[in-house]
Amino acid sequence: MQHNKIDAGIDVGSLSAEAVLLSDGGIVAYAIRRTGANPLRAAESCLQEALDKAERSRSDVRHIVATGYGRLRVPFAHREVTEITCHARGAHYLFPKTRTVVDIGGQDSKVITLNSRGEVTDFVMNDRCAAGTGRFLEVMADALETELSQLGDLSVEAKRGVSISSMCTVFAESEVISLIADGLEKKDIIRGVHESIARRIFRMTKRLRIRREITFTGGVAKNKGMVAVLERLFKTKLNIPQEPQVVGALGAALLAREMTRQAP
Amino acid sequence: MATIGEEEKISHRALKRVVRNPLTYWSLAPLMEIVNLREQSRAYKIWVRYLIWMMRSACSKRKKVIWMSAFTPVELAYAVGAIPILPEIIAALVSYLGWAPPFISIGNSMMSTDVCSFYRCALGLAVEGYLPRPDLIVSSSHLCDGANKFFSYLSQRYACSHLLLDPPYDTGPEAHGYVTDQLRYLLAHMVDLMAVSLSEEELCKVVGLSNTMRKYMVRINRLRMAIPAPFPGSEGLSYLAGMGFCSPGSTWGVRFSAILARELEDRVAKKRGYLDNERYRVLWLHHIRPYYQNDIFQFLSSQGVSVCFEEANYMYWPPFDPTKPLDSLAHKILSNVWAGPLERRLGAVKEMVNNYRVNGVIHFSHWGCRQSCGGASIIGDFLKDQGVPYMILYGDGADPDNYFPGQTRTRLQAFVEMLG
Amino acid sequence: MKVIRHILDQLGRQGGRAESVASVGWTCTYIPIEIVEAAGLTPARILPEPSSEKADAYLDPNFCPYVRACLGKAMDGEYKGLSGIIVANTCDGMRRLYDAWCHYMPPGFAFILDVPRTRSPNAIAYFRGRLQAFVRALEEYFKAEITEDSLRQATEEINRTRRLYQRLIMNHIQGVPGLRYSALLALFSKEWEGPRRLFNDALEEIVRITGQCTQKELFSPRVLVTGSILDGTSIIELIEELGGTIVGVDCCLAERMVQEVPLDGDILNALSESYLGKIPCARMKDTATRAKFLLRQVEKTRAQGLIYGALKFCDPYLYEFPALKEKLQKRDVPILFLEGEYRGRLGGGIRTRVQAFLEMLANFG
Repeated sequence: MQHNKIDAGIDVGSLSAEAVLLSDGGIVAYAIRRTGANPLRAAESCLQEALDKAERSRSDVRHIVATGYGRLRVPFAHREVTEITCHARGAHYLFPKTRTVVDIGGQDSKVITLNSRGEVTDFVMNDRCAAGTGRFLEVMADALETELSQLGDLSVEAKRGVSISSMCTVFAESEVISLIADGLEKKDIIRGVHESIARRIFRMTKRLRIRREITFTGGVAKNKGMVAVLERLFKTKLNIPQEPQVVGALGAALLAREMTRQAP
Repeated sequence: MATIGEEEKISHRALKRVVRNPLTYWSLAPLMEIVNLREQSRAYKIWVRYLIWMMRSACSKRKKVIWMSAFTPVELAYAVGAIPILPEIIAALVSYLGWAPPFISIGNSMMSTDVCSFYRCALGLAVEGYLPRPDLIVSSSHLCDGANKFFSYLSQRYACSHLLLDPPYDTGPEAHGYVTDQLRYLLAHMVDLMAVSLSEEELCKVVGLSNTMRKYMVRINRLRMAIPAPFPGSEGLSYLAGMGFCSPGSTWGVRFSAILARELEDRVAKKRGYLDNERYRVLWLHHIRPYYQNDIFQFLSSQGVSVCFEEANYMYWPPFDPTKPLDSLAHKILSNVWAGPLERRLGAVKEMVNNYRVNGVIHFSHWGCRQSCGGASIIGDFLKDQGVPYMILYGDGADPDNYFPGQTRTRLQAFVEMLG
Repeated sequence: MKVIRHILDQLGRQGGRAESVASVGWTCTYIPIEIVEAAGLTPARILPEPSSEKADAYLDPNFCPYVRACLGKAMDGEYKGLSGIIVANTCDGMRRLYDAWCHYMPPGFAFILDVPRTRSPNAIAYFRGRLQAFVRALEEYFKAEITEDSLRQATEEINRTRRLYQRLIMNHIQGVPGLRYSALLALFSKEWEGPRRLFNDALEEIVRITGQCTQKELFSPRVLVTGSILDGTSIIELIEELGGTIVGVDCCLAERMVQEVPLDGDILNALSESYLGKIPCARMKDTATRAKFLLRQVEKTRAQGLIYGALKFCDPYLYEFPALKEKLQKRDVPILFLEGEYRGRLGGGIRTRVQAFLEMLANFG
C-alpha cells in the first residue's frame, strides 16, 4: 500500500495540547490531551496518539511545527510559530471566506484579522485576565453548582440575561453568588455570564477593523450559549469548526506542509 | 465587505443629533426648573442653568466653541465671546449621570487602561461625536501630561488647531514674562484662527468679573471654616469646583459665587451645619471624587464625619489687577500650588489643616493620576509628623466598574475609627 | 562583531573617568550635558537596575517604573558617590522624582531644569534663560567657571560623538554583517564610562571598520522601534532574537542622542534651539512632526512595521499612541503596541506579541 507522507502540527497550550496530521489529501487524524505539568511529554504523547489513530509512524512525518504557550518546549519541532499565525491559517483552511478569527481558550482569548490568503493582518490578545476566557466559565459553573458542559444549553434556554457588572473574575463570582442568593433565575444568570464574556470579546474587537466571515475557535466555541450570544452581538452567523480546539494545531500542520513543499 | 461594528445604530445617530441640537437645551431648561423646584440651594440651580446655557450656546453654532483643559484660563474664551467646553468636566458630569461606562469602553479600545478614566471617557464622548464641535482647542500643560497630549489627538481628529499654554516649573520674573508673552500670543492666535474680535476693554471686563468671583470664593472659603461645616465637601467637589473651572470671567460665575456666599452666610449665622451631628472634620485631597453613584460621603455623614473642605477649592492666586489682565492671569497660573515643586502643595495642605481645624485627611488617589498620587506619600509623612490621621483612598473618579464598595467601606470605617 | 568588542575592551582597560572629578547624575536627554562637561564635571547617566519595591511606598505603585527604580536605587545608597543630580521637568514622573529624591535623600547639588514643550521663539529664549541659570548654579556650587570657550569646546567634542553615532547608524542601516542593534546600544552605553576623547577615538575606529563592510541587503522582517525605552536591552534583544531586523531605534538610549549643536553665534542660544528642535519626544506638544519623522524613517530604512514600546504608566507615550497609530495606519504601516516594565523580565505575552507581529510582517515581505 502506498503511504503518503504526512506533516504534523502540535499546539501546546497551558491546559491542553493538540496534534493534527495533514497529508496532501487533507486532515488525516487529530488528538487532544491535557497538557499537565510536562509540555514536552504532552506534545510527544499527543503526536503519538494522532499517529496511532492514523495507523502511521513517526518516520512518515516529514515536518513538524509547534505552536502555543509551550511551543519552545518542543525541541523535535522543525519550527515554532505563534498561535496567532496558526489560528489564522487553520481557520482559513476550514472556511476560506473567513476574515476574522475569535479564539477563546481556557486561559486566554484573541481576535485576529486575516486576508484572503489566510495571512494575519492585525491581532489583539488578552492573556492577562481570566475574564473573557474559558476560566471565567469554569469559575462560574462552580459558583452556580452546574456542570460546565451544561452551561451552554441552559444559557440558550434563558428568557433574558442578568447583567453582571464586575469586570474581574473574582468579583464576578461574588456577584453571581449574591444573585443566586437573591433568588434570580439560574438560567438567566448563566446567560448573563455568557454575555459578560461576549462583551469582553466585543471590546477587544473594537481595537481592530473586523470583517465577515467570523470563525469562532477554541474550546469555548463548543458552547452553544457562547455562540448564540456572540452571534447576536456581532449580528452575523459565526463559522464553527467541527472540532474548534484543533484549529491552532491545524494551522501549524499547514505551515509544516508548506515547509515540505518548499524543500521536499 | 462591510466592517462589523462600524454600522451605527440608528438610535445612536438620533441620540447624537438630540445631544448636539440647541433646541434640546431650550426645552430642557424649563424641565430642569421644575425638577429642581424643591432644590434648596439657589446656587445649585445656577449651576444647572449654566450647564444648559453652555451646551445650548455651544450647539447653536452662533458662537465659537473652544475646547479647553481644566486649568486653562477660561477667561480667554469669554474675552473673545466664545464658549469654553471642558471635556474633563463633561466627563465628570457624564459619570455623575451614570452614563460613563460605554464611553470609557470606547476610550479603552483606543488608549491604555492605565491612563486617567476622565480622559478615556472624554475620548469616547469626543470620538463618538457627543460633544459640540470645536472651532479651536486650547489646553495648558499644567497640571498633567494628559492635558497636553490628549488634546493633541483630538485636534488631529477634528482637524482644528491646538494651542498650548505651557507654564514653566519656575516662578521667577523670567517665568512671569514668559507666561504673559504666551498668553498674549495665544489671544492673538485665537482671534486670528477663529476670526473673532477682541478689545482690550472686553478683556479687562472679563478679568474684572473673574476677580469679583474670586472675592466671593474667598468669602465662601472663609465661611466654610465655621464649625459645624456649613457646606458639604461632596458638593464642593462637584458643582462648586465645576463652576470654579468653567465660569470665571462670566457673569454666571459672579452670580453663582455671590449667591452661594450669601447662602453660607445665612447658614453660618444660624450655626447650621450640613450634618446634624458633626463629630469629626475631614479634609479631602485631590481635585476629584468618584462621581458615579457611590456611598462614600453618605457613609462618612452617617458616622458624623463632615468633609468640611477640599483641596480643589483652595484659593491660591492673588487678586487681579483688571487694568493688567494678562499679567494677572499669568500670576494666577504661576501661583498654582499643584504645579511646580511639591513644597507648595504641602504648604497649602498645612494651611487648610489649620484653618479648617480638621481631625483627619483623606487623599483620593485616582487611578491614572500620576501628578497627584505621586505626592500622596510625602504629604502623608508630613501629616503624620503633625499627628494628623491620614488615609490614601485608592479609587477611580469616573469609572464605576473600578469601584469596589466593600473594600472602600472597610477602609473608610477603619479611618473613622482612627479619628476616634 | 568581534573586532568591535576588542576595541571596547581596550577602551575599558584605559580606565574610567578620573576619580577626582565630581560626577553629577542626569536623567533625560533634554538636559544639555555640554554644560556639565564644560564645568569639568562628569555627567553620570542614571540608568538603574530595578531594585526593591522600596520606592513604591514613597511614590505610588502605579508610577513610571524608571522613576521608581531611580528612587529605589537612590534609597539603597547606590548614588552616594554622586555630587548631585540634574532632573528635567519633562513629565509628571520626573517632577515627582525630583521632589521625592530631594525630600528623602537630599543630594549635594540638585537642579531641576525647566524644559518648554514648544519651539516658539519665546520658548527658546526662556530655555536659554534656564540654561543660564543652570550654568550659574553649577558655577556657584562647584566653584567652577564655565566660559564661552569651555562650553564651545565641550560642545564640539560631544558633537564629534554625535556625528560618529550618525555615521554608525547609517552604516548599520546599509547592512553590516553580524552587527545587531543591541550591540550598538551596548556601545552607546559606554559613552559615560570614560574620558570622552578616548571614547570618540574608539568610536571613530568602529565607524571606519563598519563602513568598510560590503553593503548587504537587510533581511525581512525589518522593524523600526520607538518609545520610552530606557532599558533597551530587553525589547531590542527580544526582537532580534525572534529574527527581526531592527533598522532604527527612536529612543533616548539611541537615536534621540544624535543631533548636533551648531557652533556659530551665542552658544547657549545654540544649545537651547538645538535641544528644543530635536525630533520631539512624546512629551513635547508637537505630535505631527514626530509622526512625519517616523514615517520618513520608515521610508528611508524600508521598515515594514513599527514597534511602539511605551513604559508602563508613561503618560506622554500612552496618550500619543492613538494619534500616531492613526497617522501610520493611513499609510498602511503596521504598528505593534507594547507596554513594558522597566528592566522587568519580559513575560510570555510580550514574546508572543512580538513574534506574531514579525510573522505577520514576514508575510508581507
